[in-house]
Amino acid sequence: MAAALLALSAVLLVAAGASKVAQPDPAADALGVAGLPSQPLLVRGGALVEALLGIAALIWAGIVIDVLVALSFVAFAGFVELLRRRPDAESCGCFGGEGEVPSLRHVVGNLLLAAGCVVAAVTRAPSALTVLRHSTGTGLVFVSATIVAAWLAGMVLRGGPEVRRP
Amino acid sequence: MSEAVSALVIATVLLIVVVVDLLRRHGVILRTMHELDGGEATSGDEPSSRQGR
Repeated sequence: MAAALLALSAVLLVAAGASKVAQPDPAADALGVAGLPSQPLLVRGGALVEALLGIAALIWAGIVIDVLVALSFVAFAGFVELLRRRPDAESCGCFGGEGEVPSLRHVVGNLLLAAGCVVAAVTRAPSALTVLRHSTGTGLVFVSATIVAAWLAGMVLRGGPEVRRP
Repeated sequence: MSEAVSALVIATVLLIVVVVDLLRRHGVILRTMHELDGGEATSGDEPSSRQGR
């Protein structure tokens, strides 16, 4: 389970980081609301580091990388919790979009992922690449399920799927 | 094998959460949410819960 949670966390980091590199403004606005440095260039730099950490975790799982990923999610949880206490915070911008309402679900989800990464560090869980190399068939199922899970997790963390109303 | 099963289990749980969200937003289980929220029925959970704090 820890390996799956680590891979899920890593894919989310890559997706969220890449989104913020492309669209830093919502996250910059959220940082500004929270009273933190909010220059778009700074957001882009942080997002790039976030995405690179995710890629590293997919390739080389280990105590250092697992703990760094866990700390990232703890930091995100703290940031979203901070935004929840600000009535003027309309979006956390975590995935580079508007309307990502800072929610308790988002905080809890981030903390669960952080806990999974800590367990992965303690149990020396393998990286996604290691699972793929060990057995191609199992690895492909693992990677496919992880990508689907990350897509669903992104939807859940953003506050649920969008419903188009007539 | 266990890693793949774990990933499938996580994906399934998340799929259930997303489907429940969709049902709530379409009002299919609005009454249940109405009861859980103590009388406040909504089509989107978070904005209303933020107002409630």
